[in-house]
Amino acid sequence: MQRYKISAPTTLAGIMAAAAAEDDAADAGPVPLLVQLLAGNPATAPAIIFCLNAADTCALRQLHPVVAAVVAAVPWLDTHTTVYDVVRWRAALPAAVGARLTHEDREGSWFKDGRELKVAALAGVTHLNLYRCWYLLEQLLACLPPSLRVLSIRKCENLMASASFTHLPALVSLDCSLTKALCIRADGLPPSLQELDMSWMQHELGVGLSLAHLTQLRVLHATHSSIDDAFVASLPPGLVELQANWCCNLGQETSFAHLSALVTLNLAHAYIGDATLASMPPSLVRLDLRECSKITPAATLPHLPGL
Amino acid sequence: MLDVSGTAIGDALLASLPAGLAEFRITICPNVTPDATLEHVPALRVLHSVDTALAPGMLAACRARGCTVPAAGKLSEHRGFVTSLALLGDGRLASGDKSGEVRVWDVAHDGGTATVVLHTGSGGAVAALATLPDGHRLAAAVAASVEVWDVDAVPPVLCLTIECGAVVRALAVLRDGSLAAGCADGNVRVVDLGAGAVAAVLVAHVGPEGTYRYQAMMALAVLPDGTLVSGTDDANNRKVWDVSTRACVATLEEADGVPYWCSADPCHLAVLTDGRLVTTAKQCKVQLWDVAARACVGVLAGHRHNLSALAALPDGRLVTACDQGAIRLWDTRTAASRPAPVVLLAEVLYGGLQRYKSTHHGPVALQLLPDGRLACASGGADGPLHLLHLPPPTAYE
Repeated sequence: MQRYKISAPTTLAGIMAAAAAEDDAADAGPVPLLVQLLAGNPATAPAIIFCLNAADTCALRQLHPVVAAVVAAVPWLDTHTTVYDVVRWRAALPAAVGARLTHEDREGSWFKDGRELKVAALAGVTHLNLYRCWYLLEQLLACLPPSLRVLSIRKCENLMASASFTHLPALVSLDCSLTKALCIRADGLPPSLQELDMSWMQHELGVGLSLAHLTQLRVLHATHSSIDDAFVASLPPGLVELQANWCCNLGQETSFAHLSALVTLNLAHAYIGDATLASMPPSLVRLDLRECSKITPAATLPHLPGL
Repeated sequence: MLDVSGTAIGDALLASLPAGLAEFRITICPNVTPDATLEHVPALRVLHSVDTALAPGMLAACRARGCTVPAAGKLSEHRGFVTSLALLGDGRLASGDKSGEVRVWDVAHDGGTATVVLHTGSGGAVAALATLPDGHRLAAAVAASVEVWDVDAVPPVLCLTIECGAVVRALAVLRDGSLAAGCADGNVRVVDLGAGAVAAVLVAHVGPEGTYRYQAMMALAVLPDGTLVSGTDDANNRKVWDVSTRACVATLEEADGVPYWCSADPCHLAVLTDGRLVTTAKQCKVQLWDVAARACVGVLAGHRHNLSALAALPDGRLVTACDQGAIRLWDTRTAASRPAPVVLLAEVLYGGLQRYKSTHHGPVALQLLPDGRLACASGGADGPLHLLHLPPPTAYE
């Protein structure tokens, strides 16, 4: 059992009122006695469910019809346990709001008849982990539900550089590291974004790439990417955290002075120099300049009272 | 927090530090001089300054103000890669290197210069050291033999050489005073020091089909009840031995679903004060074992690179080092029920950060000293021994 949080509590009244649910977990292993004792008791079932993840639900449903009903009503937000059949997953956990889809699709089912059922099963999902899902192409991306708030497409290598996310107006967090997603355009990112991970981009970023329209952006991870001085200049002033270690295109003229809300800045292994150091905003609390080889013995810190 | 490790910053940057800075990492900054001061940074609580030439007096002043300052000196006389450490009965530190040289340091009295230097007979690398129960004889694993030296004698005297028939990689003193030698052929030799000969061979690694699995013995540990544990670089092959009967009584296997082929750290073993065994495991993890129950009772995860050394502290904490130089300090008392609190104690790297990346020489041996400091062999040619202050455990609970 892995601890995992769910997004909303389940009340005792809700448990007692719930109808008996289908028990489709015949192939689950034996349920530990302690879990039977606690989860089979309506008074303690909510507490134990809060400690479980979606992978535990098969065993839970065996315990008692009341527990099965509770399981069905829980808004599971588990983006670690891999879902192999998204239609069955939705049938088993109708209230679930988060999932991690398998990266395997040997039969190409996302491109065949029945694809609509799969897409429909994702309706209402707010958190989706598509790590290494090779089948994520523009067509599927366009079908993702507008309810999505957190999306990881890390290492989805077949997604084209022209991908757009503007049909996801609620998206606040996007992990597109190890993809080509931002190599040409950044205007496909919705302005609702607050966190963006664009580390380890597979190709050089397009000339003039700008995130200026992401006025809500607070956290940007761009480790091992080709961001440059112009890109940094385009960052919104509300940025709080910037991870830009191993960004070799950042040079001795890069300035961070306009990022007046910046609290955490990681520039380890970048080629920044003394002038960049002098441009650091006074809001900084954590500054990592490890192995910045262009900093000289004459360098001094500007006024950084928060460090 | 400010980290300028591995940069060319000088005293000017230190002079410009803000008064409120709480954590400062300045490891390997060659342009900083002993003239630099941190008196204007009264809020400083953690200072990482290994291999930066800050004045000892200034560091002591920081400590007096309550700041954790691990860097506590350096012993630099070895000309070869330091491979092993041992503590003698009188508190002196012995260190063996790849050239076959063993140096003994009086670390309690500053100890900047070795008081004893001996050269092992074959001139091969000293793979392991162990202090014998009398406290003044030192066993050194050199090639396929174990040499026993009396280091109290002036000059040191080679008392005994025992041929083991295979390259010796690890040594441990057993409860009955005999010596266990872990060998590169995968077996453990039990050496009777009185007779000066191998008394028994513990055949450690026979595969499931009866085939011999040729894996070099990497580490040995003796539990409080006298049980011997041996380990190879196969994380599923930690053997538990009843030395009196020469029998393997258990094999400790990882049961975390990690595939067999997944890369394993080289095996390192340590024994906590409560008797739990500590082993390195796959995926840069550390496992805690209740050996009597044959059960893994805790996993410490946090390192991102292969583990290179372990040391158990008397207060229950554990020191771990990885081959990228990071040394971490864990409070192991809570590991079974929740993640063990951990802090970065120091970074000890051979030859500077940039140079180090291609050579991968993190700490290769750790040894707790009687005064509470930790000796750390940093690896690499002419790699120095670093002495580290350990913060009190209350700071991490």
